[in-house]
Amino acid sequence: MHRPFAARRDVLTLDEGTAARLLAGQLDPSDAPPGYGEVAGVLAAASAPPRPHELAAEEGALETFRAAASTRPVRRRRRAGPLVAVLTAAVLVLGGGAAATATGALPGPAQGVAHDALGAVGVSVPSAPQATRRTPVAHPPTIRTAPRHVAPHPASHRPTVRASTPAPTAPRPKPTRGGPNRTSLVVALCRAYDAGRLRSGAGRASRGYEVLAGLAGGEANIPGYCRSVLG
Amino acid sequence: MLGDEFTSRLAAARRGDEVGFSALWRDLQPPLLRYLGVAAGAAAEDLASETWARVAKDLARFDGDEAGFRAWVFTIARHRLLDWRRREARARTAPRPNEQLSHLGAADDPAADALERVSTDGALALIAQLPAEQAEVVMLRAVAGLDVARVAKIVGKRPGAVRVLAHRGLRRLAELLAVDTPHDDPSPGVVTP
Repeated sequence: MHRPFAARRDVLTLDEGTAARLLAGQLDPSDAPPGYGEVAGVLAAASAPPRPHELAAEEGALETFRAAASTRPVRRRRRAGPLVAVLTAAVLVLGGGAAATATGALPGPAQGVAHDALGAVGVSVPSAPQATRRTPVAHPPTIRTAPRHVAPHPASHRPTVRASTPAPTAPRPKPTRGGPNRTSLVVALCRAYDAGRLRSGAGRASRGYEVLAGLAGGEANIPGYCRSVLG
Repeated sequence: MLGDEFTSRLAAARRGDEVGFSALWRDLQPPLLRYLGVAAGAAAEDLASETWARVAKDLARFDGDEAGFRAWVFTIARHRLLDWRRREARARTAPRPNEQLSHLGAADDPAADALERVSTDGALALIAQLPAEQAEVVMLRAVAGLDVARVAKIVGKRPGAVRVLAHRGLRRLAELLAVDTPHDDPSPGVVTP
């Protein structure tokens, strides 16, 4: 059915209210003026919820964000940085999927974990004697550490083998065993522990094991702690 | 839109918390990609990354509510877009944006046409056939969800001009859709895309 061009143009004139509602997605196609029903559908399709490929670049965006955040002169952040590097390295020792999961989650949410771990572990070593196999000064050569920055006080940077309390000036109180952290890092450490990768050799000597022991409140408590973490 | 969550997410992101930034990103990246896609085709992903890099860098300097944040992000995006267009104009090799999306548009099969039209890609391809200024205003109003005043600021025009562009864009969409409808014979007087 043909319509003269001039008549068609008149019919398509919109008032501002209708146009605004169309653009806001508030006009049902069946309520739209003649000719605009499909336009409402097109606009709705253009504003439809995200498809997976539109969210695929998230990891890159987070890396950009981290890079921008780390150049901001915030004192607290700088202190956390090297420790996060330590934990990253520790988890990398565990290898494979655990590392991928854990490193992806590190800086933001795991900052809490990092501080708790610092409070629980610091540079001193938990009471169980086997954890002191390493020499007081040396760390496993594969792990990059910055013990000077990790220490809450310059004076206590002496990496001690004191089998006792955590560093006295830890930024946060030591966490109770009642509240297991469920961040990806801790989950990854527990999974590695359950898979046997932490119980001997390099795994046992690793910083990751030390962190886990600290969080659990002692090596002997790790199995129970991980049971509650992994659920 | 994040609604009530926005303020806390923004605050978290400003503290360097990834979870906060991720929420902001997930909310705005899809509309951003679609806006940039209509305007710049395959360059959309790179332009979106550039946008977020700037957002992340200047986050501390932003102050405002959720709508203000949206407007700010799209303002940055538009600057990247203009830079891109200048580079492309110098290179003089880039196809016009609507050509870059034409592969998403309707094939000769009417049934496929209808299906394409209701899909998101089909809708965006149709909008991309509008004159650039009309397409931009339609995208910023309908997909970015910005009001007339904010769009006016972003595109550097008066609110009245923005309304006129929006009306023209909507009318042009109606005309394009009427022409595509199978049972309508395109008559000599009807405007073709």
